[in-house]
Amino acid sequence: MSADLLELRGLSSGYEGSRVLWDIDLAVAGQDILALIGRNGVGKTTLLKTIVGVQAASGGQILLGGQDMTALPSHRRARAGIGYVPQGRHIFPHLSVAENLDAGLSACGTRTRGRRVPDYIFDLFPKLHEVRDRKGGFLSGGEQQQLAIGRALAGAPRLLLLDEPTEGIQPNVVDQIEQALRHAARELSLTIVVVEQYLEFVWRFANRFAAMRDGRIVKEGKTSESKASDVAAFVSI
Amino acid sequence: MDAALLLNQLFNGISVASIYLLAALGLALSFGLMRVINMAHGEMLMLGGYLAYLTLIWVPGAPGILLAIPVAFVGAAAMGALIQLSLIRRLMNRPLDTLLATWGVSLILQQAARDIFGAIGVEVRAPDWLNDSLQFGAVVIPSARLFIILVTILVLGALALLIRRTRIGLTVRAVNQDRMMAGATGIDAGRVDLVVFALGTGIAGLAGVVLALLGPVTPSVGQSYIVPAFLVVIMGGLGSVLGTTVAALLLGLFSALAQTVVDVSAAQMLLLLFVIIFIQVRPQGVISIRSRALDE
Ligand SMILES: Nc1ncnc2c1ncn2[C@@H]1O[C@H](COP(=O)(O)OP(=O)(O)OP(=O)(O)O)[C@@H](O)[C@H]1O
Ligand SMILES: [Mg+2]
Repeated sequence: MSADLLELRGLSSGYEGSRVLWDIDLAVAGQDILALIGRNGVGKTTLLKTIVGVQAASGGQILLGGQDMTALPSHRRARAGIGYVPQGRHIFPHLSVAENLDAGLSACGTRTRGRRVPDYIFDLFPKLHEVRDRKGGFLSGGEQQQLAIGRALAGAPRLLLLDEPTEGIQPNVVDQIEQALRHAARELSLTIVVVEQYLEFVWRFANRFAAMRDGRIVKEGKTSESKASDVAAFVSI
Repeated sequence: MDAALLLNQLFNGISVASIYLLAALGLALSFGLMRVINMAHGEMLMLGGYLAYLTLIWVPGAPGILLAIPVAFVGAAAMGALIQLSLIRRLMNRPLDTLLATWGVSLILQQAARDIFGAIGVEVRAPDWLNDSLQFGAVVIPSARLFIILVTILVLGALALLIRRTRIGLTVRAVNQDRMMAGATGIDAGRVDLVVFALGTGIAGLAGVVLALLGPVTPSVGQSYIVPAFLVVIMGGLGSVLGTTVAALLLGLFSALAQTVVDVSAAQMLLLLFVIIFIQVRPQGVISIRSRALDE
């Protein structure tokens, strides 16, 4: 068993006919916060989808806590502890906020019975409590993003994957998201992989980064050793 | 046409609508959730009818009818689960193959019924109180039809509660709204599909019990109800429970009223015409598939 919570070995993936990810090797240690960066279309979303299992790997392995996830369907991976906040948020539009959070409890698997959405989620995002009876589809973008994070946390994950959580979000909500992720890492011992274009934001709390180009990881390091401005070349043209 | 006749036909229409609805709900649910058309759905009615027949031989009278309801539900649901696990799950995203395979199942089940029960059909001996009727002046309400309406209301109520108030209902709605995300939140979408499919065939089994109270159960009894059931699903907007209910009411009332003016087969033709015109005016059905949740 390795000490890394998430380990990708030679992972490749793609869509009908076109390969998007090439031989990705990546290790994320427990309680690391990894910023995954890269330009549009390099395959960041595809990588997260492949880890979550909503996109099939065409080769390689995905290990969570040393356990092989590669052949498991997505709901089994969620129950093994992978929480997902997708790009575009994917809130269930006709479910209320409270029901969306309840749906998140499904990741607790057989432990779902009698479980409630933990209160700390409403402490992190008081707005969600305010709008709890509103349908997900009627929320603003910022509210939906908070809900997507809350829903993932409700499943008590070990690993949280976020895809561009600040996309189209105003500064005060960005701050709340930062607080939530810091809290999750510190108090809940979560390991986090966050895809971001907004480098100043992730550099405030990520301890490591990995940069992608054309479906490959081309640079890795500690955020403390590379300034955000130094790696900016990986995200802008 | 006098008022009493109109009232009689109105009541008749509602009871016809009830049968259409019980027959159509399963089709609507599995199309709404999985985009699957089960050609053997009519045979679930047939199965329910024969199970009611057997139950009433075993336990005659009122307790038999009450027992036939769970027996037919469970029997048809089990058959549905078998079909889902053995065929539909394996043919996911292959609609044409699914159509052909379930059509094959339909033929096999009809032939099996012919071999076991004979081609002629069997008569369910309903208890006497179901052959009575209630009379209000000139308005005569047969008890059997009242019973059918009651069963349908109970089924609808139970279904609404299940979908809106239970954990499994929550997972059904989540899968219906965003299958990818439902999986990523830990919901086993394959299990949800199985449960919904079995539930739909179980309800069709109940429709079979109800049919057995009105006439003989034959190997092809399902075929005569499956066409109106499909019309109801199309008109309802392909998959919502509320839309299906409204469409069943419209079609049931229409066919009962049409039968006061023309004979049965002409009424069938008018029914088809009615649906075609309705779909011309409102192609999205009673409730549009884009703007609805499964539970609406
Ligand atoms: N469903 C799909 N079918 C076919 N090709 C796809 C699909 N989704 C993404 N791609 C392609 O795969 C490549 C990687 O896309 P991906 O969404 O992973 O990039 P990304 O790094 O997340 O980009 P962005 O920063 O714009 O979100 C792109 O070339 C894209 O066109
Ligand atoms: Mg992306």
